Amino acid sequence: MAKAILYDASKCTACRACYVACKQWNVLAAAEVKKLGTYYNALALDGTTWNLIDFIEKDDPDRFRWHFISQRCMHCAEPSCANVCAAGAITKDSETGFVLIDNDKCLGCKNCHYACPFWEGVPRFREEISEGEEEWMDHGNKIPGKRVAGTMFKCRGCVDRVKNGLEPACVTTCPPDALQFGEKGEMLNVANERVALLKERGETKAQVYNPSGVGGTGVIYVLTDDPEVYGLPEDPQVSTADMVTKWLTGLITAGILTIVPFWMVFKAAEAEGKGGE
Amino acid sequence: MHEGTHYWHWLLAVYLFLGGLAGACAYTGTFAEAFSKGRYKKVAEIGSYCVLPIIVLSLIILVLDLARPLQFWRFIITFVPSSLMSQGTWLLTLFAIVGGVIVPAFFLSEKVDALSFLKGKDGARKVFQWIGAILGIGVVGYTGVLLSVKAVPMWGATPFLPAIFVASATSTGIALILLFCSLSAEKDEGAIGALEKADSIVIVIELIAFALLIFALSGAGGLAADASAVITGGEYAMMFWVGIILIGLLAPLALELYGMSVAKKAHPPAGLSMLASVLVLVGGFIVRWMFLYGGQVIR
Ligand code: SF4
Ligand code: SF4
Ligand code: SF4
Repeated sequence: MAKAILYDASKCTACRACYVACKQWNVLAAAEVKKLGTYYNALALDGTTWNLIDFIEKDDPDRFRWHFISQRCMHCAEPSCANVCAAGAITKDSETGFVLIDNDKCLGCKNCHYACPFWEGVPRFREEISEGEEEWMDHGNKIPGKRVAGTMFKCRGCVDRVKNGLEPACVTTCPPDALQFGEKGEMLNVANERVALLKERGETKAQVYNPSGVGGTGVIYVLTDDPEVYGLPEDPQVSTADMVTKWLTGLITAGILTIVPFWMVFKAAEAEGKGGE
Repeated sequence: MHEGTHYWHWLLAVYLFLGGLAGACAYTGTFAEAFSKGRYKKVAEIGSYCVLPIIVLSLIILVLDLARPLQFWRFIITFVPSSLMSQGTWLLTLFAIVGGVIVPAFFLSEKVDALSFLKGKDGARKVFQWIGAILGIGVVGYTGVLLSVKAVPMWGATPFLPAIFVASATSTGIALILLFCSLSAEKDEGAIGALEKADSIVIVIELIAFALLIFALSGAGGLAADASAVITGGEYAMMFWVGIILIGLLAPLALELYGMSVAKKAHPPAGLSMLASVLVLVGGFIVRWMFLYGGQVIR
């Protein structure tokens, strides 16, 4: 049975404990931060930042609102990233449904980054592996995968913890229980109940985000506004879904349109050539 | 938004350009010979010689662009049908063998003794030429589809990017052969005229494909419309209107039309078609460049 992480934006206080827990558990270097006059501390996902809290200010007609969202790999049921990987480095873990990159196989071509429909491309590139990580890899026991320089990184759903009966580190640490973990069906129930309650309270736009275009996701959101407000695509699609159509437009449309002029021009030339001989 | 994630750079633009060029050289020559019932065999011969150097260069660039080039063999031992990168690696390899080695070997057999066992086997040559042409079309199509199956609005929000890439590649293929024809000692005016005529039609098709892409993108609204604004009025507008439309498409079209109109009365100066070819090649490269960089502006 597929597992799911539920992030409830209506409960999140943007304390960013999940962000720190992810770094700690996975031995990821801290991000260099600049004072920007905002509350951000990491600006974007990167090779060592697999989860961050985004702050969104929205000026609604009746009131000013602040929205938070946890940006991270959505663990799509049909992962575009895995579909485009020519090295076969990205797979879906059969036990949990989490999407994992095998860094040993990854060549760093970055196709997965451009194929991913979420957060401007979730898989991010890393040039280097830090000393601490090498030590940690030698350690041997809690390793979710080898770390290789020049490859792509993203959230691994803490499969190493899950397979040992624990929740993902970010979930365990979340003080207001905005993050929860369990069977996908169970998490969907929790999310639906929560949305019903929020609606009762007057949150008319409250909704569950589990987009069907990618077969549903292993990270489910409870939102209090439309997905676009959070920077989420309303109807994300598996990016390779219309591959055949695109091959056909490329080949048939243009292909035929190219053969035709050749045929016209050189056919005429043949006739001329004969006449001249 | 975040510059740090603009991972794909000019090397990839060169790769896409060269892949398209090599593929188009193969089928341009094949079509020219086949449709003229052998009258333009020379065109096919010149086209076939262009393939290997270009395709080898593009393969080298593909490998160099990987963060771990020495692991390239992993692409070869795996075949992932849903991965364009995987399809492309295989297409390029097969194309390099058939279009880059076997077909030119047949042509060379008339000059090189070591290959004399292939001499005069025109039937076999034609079969391989057609296989090479089909693989060439595949390679050209792949360079466009590779970008279009990405979650990047300018590339993937409409199905027209592959059409533009195929038209542009065809035009560059014709231009390269045209250039060699114009440079060669025994000039075939008929072939030059025919190539120019074919190219002018392809350029018109490319202009239509560009119009379709821009209308479809801006009509789709949201991020797709933002992406079309990047090329029509934004950061890449100069490159698009001047680099591609003016220099890469309209200027060579005008030169070719002029060349064809005077050809009836007098020999057009050879410099004219050479200039047109160079402009087409430069424009074709700008097409890849603009899409690669411009696409990454809006995610
Ligand atoms: S969110 Fe992106 S990286 Fe994560 S599984 Fe889906 S496609 Fe892959
Ligand atoms: S960057 Fe690595 S994981 Fe991503 S598609 Fe390329 S080889 Fe696969
Ligand atoms: S599940 Fe684990 S790897 Fe993913 S964001 Fe949470 S702590 Fe990080």
